[in-house]
Amino acid sequence: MASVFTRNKEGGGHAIRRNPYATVALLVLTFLVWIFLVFPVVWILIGSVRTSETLFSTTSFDFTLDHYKTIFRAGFGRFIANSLFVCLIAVVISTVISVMASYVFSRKRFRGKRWLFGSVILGQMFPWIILVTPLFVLFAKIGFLNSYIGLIASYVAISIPFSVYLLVGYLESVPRELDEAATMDGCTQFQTLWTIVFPVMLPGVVATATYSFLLMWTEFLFALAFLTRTNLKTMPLGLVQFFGEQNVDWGAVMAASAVTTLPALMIFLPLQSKLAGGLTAGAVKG
Amino acid sequence: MAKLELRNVTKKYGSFTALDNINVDIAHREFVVIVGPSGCGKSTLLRSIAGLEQISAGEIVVGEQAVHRVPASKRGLAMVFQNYALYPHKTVAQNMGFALKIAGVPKAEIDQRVNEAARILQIEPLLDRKPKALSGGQRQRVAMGRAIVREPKVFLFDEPLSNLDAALRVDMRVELAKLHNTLDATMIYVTHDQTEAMTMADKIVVLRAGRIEQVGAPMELYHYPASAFVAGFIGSPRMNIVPATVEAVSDSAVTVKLRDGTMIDVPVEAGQTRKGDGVSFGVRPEHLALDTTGTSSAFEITVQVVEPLGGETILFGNTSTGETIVVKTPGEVAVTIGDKVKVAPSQPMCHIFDSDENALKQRARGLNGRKVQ
Amino acid sequence: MNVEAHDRRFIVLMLAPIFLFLVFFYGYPTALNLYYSLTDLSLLGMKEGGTYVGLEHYADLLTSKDFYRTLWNTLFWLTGVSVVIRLVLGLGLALLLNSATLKRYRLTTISRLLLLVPWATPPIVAVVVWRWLLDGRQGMINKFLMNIGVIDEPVAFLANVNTVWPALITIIVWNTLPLVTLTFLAGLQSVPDELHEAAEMDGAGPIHRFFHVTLPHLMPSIVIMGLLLVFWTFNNFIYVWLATGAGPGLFTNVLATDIYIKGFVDFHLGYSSAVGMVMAGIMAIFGVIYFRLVALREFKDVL
Repeated sequence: MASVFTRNKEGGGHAIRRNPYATVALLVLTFLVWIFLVFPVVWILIGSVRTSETLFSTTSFDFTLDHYKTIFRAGFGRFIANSLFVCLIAVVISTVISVMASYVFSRKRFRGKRWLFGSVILGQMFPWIILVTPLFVLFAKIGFLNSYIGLIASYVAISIPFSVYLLVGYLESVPRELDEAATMDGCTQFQTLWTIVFPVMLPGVVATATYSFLLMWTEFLFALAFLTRTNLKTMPLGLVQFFGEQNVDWGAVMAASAVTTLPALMIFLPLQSKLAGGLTAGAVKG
Repeated sequence: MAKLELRNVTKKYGSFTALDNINVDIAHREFVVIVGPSGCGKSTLLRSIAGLEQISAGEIVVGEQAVHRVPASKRGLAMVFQNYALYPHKTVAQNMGFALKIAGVPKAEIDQRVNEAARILQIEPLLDRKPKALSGGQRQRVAMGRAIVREPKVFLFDEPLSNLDAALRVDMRVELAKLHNTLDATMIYVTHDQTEAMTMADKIVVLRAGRIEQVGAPMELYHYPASAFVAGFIGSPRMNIVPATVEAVSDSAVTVKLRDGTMIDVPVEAGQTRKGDGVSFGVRPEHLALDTTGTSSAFEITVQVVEPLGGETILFGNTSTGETIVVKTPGEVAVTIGDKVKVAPSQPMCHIFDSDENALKQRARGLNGRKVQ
Repeated sequence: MNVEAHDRRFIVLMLAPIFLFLVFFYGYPTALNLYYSLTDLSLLGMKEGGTYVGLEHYADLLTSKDFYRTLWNTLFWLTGVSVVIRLVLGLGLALLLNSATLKRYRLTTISRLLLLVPWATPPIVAVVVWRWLLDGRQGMINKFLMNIGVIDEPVAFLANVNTVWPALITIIVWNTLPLVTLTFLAGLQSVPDELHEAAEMDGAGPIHRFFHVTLPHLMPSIVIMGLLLVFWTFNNFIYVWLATGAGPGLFTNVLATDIYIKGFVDFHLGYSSAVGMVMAGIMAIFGVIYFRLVALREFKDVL
């Protein structure tokens, strides 16, 4: 799967005539793209460490960590802990369920498979927003409002379709002979899945879990609807809380933004090539 | 004694019949090769024996036990896969010992059996490596080692050499034959390569579209192919098969007339065939010889391609009626493209196939082939 | 137990969880939503429930000018324009990153790393920072444009009907372009060298090679990426809601925000549910396209 990045044609054979103007134009363009990509985040970081007085000044800059102190005093640490708790549990459940289902979808024939698998992957395009009201009503009845059980279950539900889509794609690149060898070696189907196939598809599982995590880490709508008690709120709600009203405390918002972005960026750095390559790997190969 | 019997084995996928009433007896220690073109059902047959596919009807008996309802791992068989199917996250030793570990064999015994197999296959230095760090030939050995360690009643091979390059394939063929002797084991081997079948098999099963076309020892199939299909499949270069009509039928021979008018007496029994029937005339390239003496059964071809191989020369030519004829002659010959040459068939080695492609029965002739056991 | 029964039990066990989730989190709520859409249920009268009004809400929708504008906003601006821009820019950027020039100066790797920055930025944060950058009074972009003399007085980009859609789309593009670019880059790097070399031997110039070698090779990726972007954007709530609150007025109202406004601001759950069903219906059409175009091909061994 990662093999698409192994080739490296240094210099390239195609640019025999090097037009200096074209080269300069390309380099300038690249530089502008870099600014577009990075400037907003740099601006967050700068904004988060400037005093409120100099925040909008173009000439002066006073360094401060007050904004970070402000947000953590306002309970942002709690929001992050809540988010981590909800997301990690939901990711594990979602991934295990998706691996199980993907394996059966990929390896077994059975009646109704087309219908069931079709339903699951079509879940990718389901407008989750229409789930909010019915689930709210349902959760109110069974006491899942202001409880993480309802939120976690919802997160598992919305991440399953895309996870199954990705995992089945990965599984198609794991030779079926491997399963058969395990069968011949005496593995039960569960052993085949967990001791042979799962380790082999682990890179795909990690990429899938990452996508799920990011989806949940920034999910706003369900959290907004199902969690009203402050001490239960997740990070996106906490962030919005700083700038929802009339007077926006931009410094605090920027500090909170920086704190929110950091974990995601740390997950991305080591995984980047697997994440982008896997998305359409099935299509390119097919 | 691990003999293996297939009785009326049938496999259907919906309305498609992949295997149609297959009956084969395989004796203990026999090396049986199942051949056929792709899609003939040979892999399905092997996988059915292995237990990776469930048969729709019939019985599979290993030793004295009917196993077709027994899970794959309990059948006492081991399989070597085309792509080796080594577990990439396990070392060579772990790969080879995995089945024993699953079966709960004590670690000391696993180690001992893995080491023994590694010694036989000469892969002892590789035991701690991962499959990724092995060459194709080494992976092939590990895959065999994994089978050997289990001490199965029957070994199953699914085109195991098809991913190796030509030279390595020849080496592995020899090693497999040696292994067969060393292990004293029954082996079933699937391939589409007739050379592998001819060189390794005690017995060849030719499959075509899910049915058995012929079963027999290599030389038996070579000399007495039951049909034009088998005749074309066994032997290299392929047998020349051209249309002809029956001109005369006698007690000792059937005389056919090729489309260019050449008359050839072939010592076969006529059976149901009558004068005037349309048939096919078959003769192997090695049973055609350049003719300068004016033999009556010789016919003329125009040479299109000459392939001098040193020890032998292969000529590709066309008859005056446009059929392609391949001739294999020993040594070098002074023939160039465009030459018209006469070639004469060795009549006892010729074949006639009726309109259903079935061979007319050969009359007795000396041959050095082995008999089926 | 024989092999088939064993197999059946395994399949049922492995699929049971996902089946339950499908039923309880997709099937049941959708059915409930459909039912609500036929009632005049109000958020304030949840206990009493609503009375059956038949297709009244749907009739209202189809005769409402506002609804058609919302539909147009969703399909054209939010989804259509933003997806096309991302596909085109993504392809262009991937080509730039894969170009010999960038490789020669060893800028490809750093460019790839910089692409991660917007991608890793949570959408909420993306909206937040761009709101600040685009702010009408203190925004960095206004200050910059005024300094270089492009504009004389600040523009409230997200509150001005002429700039609000381009501004919104800029936010969406910034946040999601990296994924598109990296996906296409992976596709570009999987084009066999021999194909380019063969085309070059045949006398094809760079433009020819792009259209006859590169683009056909990338086409499956482009189709899948395009469809995924359509799903993700069409259903997205937070970009519009957090950036403009569907404003100015309801100028940037889209289906997702309409559901929220009708249901949770106006308390009209029945009407809001009807909008939801329309949304689901439109996605179902895309779903069929997706199934035909992508799933049947990509998963032909599975289906």
